Amino acid sequence: MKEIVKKSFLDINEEEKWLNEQGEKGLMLIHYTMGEYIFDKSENEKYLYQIEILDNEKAKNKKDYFDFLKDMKIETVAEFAGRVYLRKNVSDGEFILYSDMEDNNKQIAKKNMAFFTIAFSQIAIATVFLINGIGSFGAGGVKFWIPIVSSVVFYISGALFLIAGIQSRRKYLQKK
Amino acid sequence: MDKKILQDALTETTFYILLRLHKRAHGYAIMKDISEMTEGRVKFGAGTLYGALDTLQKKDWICRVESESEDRKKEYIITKSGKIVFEKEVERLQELLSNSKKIEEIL
Repeated sequence: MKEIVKKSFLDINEEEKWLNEQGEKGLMLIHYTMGEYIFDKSENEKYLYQIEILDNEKAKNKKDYFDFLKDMKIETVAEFAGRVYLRKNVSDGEFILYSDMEDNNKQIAKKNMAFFTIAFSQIAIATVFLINGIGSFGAGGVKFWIPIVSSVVFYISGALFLIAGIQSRRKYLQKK
Repeated sequence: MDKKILQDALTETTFYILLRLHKRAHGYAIMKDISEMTEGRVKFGAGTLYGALDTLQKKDWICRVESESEDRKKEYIITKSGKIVFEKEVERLQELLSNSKKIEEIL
């Protein structure tokens, strides 16, 4: 029986956690595209999921890597916006993708990239508003205040994303 | 005195892969056998193993071979230069071990 769930995540770690909760309920992810997850409900099986962001070497030899994963009993379910959705049957053993600490930390840094990209683009927008506001200083009134207020809003939001990114990095990075 | 270039110590990952590949094997068998050999202490993640096998192929210490099995899984085997590197590492480890026994002389 198919089940379609529409959901969107900013944090890949949260997305992964949610997918694993679905896998625990016997939901087998068979497709993903832009916020739409398609599952097949299974009565007897449970599934483990990981989302991988490929490094350059693996991205170049994608087919070879996916074939290798298949040999390791890991299915590539979908690829979307640089994210690769991987699935493994619980009955096929634990699902370790990166056993090396350095590999693992590189992957975590990649997964948290979204926070930093959003944070810096918001800070850039805020700066544009700020410059506009300062340029209209003499004009006063709406022409001055709208860009200034917008710039403050974007600076705050940018800072929040930056903090979220740093916190997420700290939470998942493995230390020696 | 002839200059000898010191070979860097092999990582545990490299050492066990070279050891296992004295007989051809595919990725899953490499992972499973090494885990059993070390009683579950050394467990490879699929992504890490792929990266390690790729690096060892580039160094020409292992190579890929045509699969004999019906499911055509990718199989690997150690090369001549891989065997030399492995033997040198075993010698180095033996030296370490025998020297470590000299601790009483030092103390």
